[in-house]
Amino acid sequence: MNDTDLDIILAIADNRLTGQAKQDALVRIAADPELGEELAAQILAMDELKSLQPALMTSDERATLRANLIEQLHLAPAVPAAAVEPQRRPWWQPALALASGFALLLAIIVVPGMLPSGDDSGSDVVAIAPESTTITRAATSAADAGAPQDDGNVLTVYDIAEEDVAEFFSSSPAPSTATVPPTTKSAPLPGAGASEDDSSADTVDDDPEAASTFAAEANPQDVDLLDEIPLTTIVRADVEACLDLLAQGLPPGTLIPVAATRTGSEVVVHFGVEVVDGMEYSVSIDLASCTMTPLNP
Amino acid sequence: MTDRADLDIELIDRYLSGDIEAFNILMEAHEDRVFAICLRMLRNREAALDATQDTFLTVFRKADRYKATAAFSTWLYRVTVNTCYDHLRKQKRKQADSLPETHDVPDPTSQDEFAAVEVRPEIEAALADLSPDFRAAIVLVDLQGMSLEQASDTLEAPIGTIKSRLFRARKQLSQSLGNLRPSSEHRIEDMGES
Repeated sequence: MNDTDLDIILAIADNRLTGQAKQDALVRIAADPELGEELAAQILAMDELKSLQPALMTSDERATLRANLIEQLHLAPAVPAAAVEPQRRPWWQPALALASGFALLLAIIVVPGMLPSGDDSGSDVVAIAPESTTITRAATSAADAGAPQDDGNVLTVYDIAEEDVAEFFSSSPAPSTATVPPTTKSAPLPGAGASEDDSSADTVDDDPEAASTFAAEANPQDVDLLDEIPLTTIVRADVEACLDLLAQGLPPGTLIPVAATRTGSEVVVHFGVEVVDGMEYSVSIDLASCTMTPLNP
Repeated sequence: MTDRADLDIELIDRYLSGDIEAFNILMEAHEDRVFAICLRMLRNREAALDATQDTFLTVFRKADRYKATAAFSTWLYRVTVNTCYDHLRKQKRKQADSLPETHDVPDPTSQDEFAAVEVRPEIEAALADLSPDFRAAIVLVDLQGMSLEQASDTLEAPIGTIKSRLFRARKQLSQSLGNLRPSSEHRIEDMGES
């Protein structure tokens, strides 16, 4: 069978011919029994195929298909803009929440001990020993050495650049074992030169002579950076307590104190915060609430 | 192009710009037909569902490469058939791997294989005997109602080739069904009267 005959049979079977063309094709087919049989076979097959049930998906199959596609194509229904905002939550917010909670706790435990009272043996003060004892001794020395006092105005502002800090520590000739502030035992200053070796703090506490002097005054070249911020001992304890909290969950060396200010009843300590991406941020810690506030956007 | 084709182009643009509703409309418009082609080509419901999913994944992932010079449906069904070819090749490899010792010819009328597809298993069995190319021609033209031109575009084969495949496929199908009738004159006469 040639292509022309094939075309004729297909055209007739598919009902694509009309009028005279159709009559001519039928005459041609009728004249050749082989073509007739071919046409019959074509029509038969088509009829059988038409009897097949339509192939449809069930509703479950359809739903599964859509769900799978949406998942694999990462398609999601439109999300309101307000719901997207929390994705860019600042990194310090969890620390802020934690710090706020701790501030409340701190206020309950420490503040009553700070209040003037005829009863020196207040249970709150006793409860935080031995650190409180050590700090008191250090505070006395610090006051003797002329450290600024809490006069209700701006006390001190130290703007210490990081390279200055590095230079400061690298030029330190004396061992640091005797100069770790009392409270650094529980709150090492990451990245600020505070020793993480607990044995050094133990040495201080075990030696009344060494512990009786505020670290910065005992050996000014062997201090952690916090010692360079002359605050009252109570403020210092608060700073360290807040710092301890805020440093939790942060990479070592993240919080670097660079300045401390006090205005009225508000005490603010400034930190240069070097985060993983290498950017430097400044934050302030309000010691009244132990909350942290970014100083630069 | 037809209204449907124009609408599809618009929907693809919307999909590419993140409109999930466009995705849903495209699915509603084409998923049944894609599944039907897959089911007739693969003759297995699970495999057909897999192939349908693979087809749409391919199409939506490559939607940015779609050129509006041809109808979206033509491109979609081309991907569908090619996906089915891939699945058939995998099925063949799997069968060869899992049955290395057997040389028995499978019973084409086996109920298990076709029961999920069709109440006429003998037709499915006859379709199963066709080569994938022949089957594709039958499925697109006789079952999906495509014109020879559309089938030619979809299968990326000349119309003459499509005609030849269609003719031979139907003939083989009739022979498989064992229903070739010796006399067809009355049918031809009937057609002449119509």
